[in-house]
Amino acid sequence: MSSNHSPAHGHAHDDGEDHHHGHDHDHSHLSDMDIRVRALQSLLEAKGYIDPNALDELIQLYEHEVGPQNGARVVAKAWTDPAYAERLFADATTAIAELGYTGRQGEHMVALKNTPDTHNMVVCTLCSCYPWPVLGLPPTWYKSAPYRAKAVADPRGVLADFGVSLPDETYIEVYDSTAEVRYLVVPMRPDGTEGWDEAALANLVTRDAMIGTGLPALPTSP
Amino acid sequence: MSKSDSPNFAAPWEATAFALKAHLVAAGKLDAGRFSHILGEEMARGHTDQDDGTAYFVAFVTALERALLEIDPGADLAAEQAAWRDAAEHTPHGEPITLKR
Repeated sequence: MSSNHSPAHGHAHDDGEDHHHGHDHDHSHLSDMDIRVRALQSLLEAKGYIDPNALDELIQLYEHEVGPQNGARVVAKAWTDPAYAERLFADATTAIAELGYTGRQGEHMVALKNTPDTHNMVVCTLCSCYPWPVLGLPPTWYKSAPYRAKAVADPRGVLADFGVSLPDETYIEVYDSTAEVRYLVVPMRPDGTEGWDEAALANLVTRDAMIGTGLPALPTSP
Repeated sequence: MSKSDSPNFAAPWEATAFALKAHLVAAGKLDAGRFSHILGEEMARGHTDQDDGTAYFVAFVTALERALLEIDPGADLAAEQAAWRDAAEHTPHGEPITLKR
């Protein structure tokens, strides 16, 4: 091996520029992590465990198509269609699939209904389990140790961190996601949205509101 | 606790790692619960951010490597990594790096 710099430490010089700065070779360079992932991928492909095209499709899907807008549609439909809401709270996996959103990893979905008495909040204390089909990829803070610890120990404190305060009498229930069960919080429909259609309502449903660390946006105009 | 967000993927390798796991689970090759358990262990291990990626995905990749070795104990990750490093060193800058078999 001709390189004398380990990729993990090769960027220590403080020029903030690219990796071959100061070196006289001009061959390609891969970071340690890039190499580890390429090795995983090529081994798995060689063994026939993965299909490269399907992999590209998945990356596209999660980068562009799956996001909180899916969950927002589910919530808005539940707000406007009582029969749908009933199906959603009875069997969320099936009700969410009605809108075309299905987990590719066999996740079982559960919808949690916020009421004036109970506010629901979702965490994964073990790692980072998240309702991908409806919310896309988790935000960084969801995966962080402080959130995972504090959501359980001090959910009201977490809400305060997010700028949310609830009445003292509202009970905060924290749900711990697992690889098998993922939760979607269905926030309360904001006052002042009577007569709004689903699309306008969906715009009020924030990602954080569906994790339980936030509330829907305040209505301004439909 | 910070409420700030960063992009979903800090680097392409993060997206690939994420997709590999999702694909393996969907294909029934990897048990989602088992992976969560391994990932939880790795997240507790204090991996650090890289120049080109986040600590979370370093834990994620390490967990994937462990999971692969559980599925396929004979997998030679070190040799495969060496092959990629070698391929990079023999590829002119700017050209796609491929593995010859």
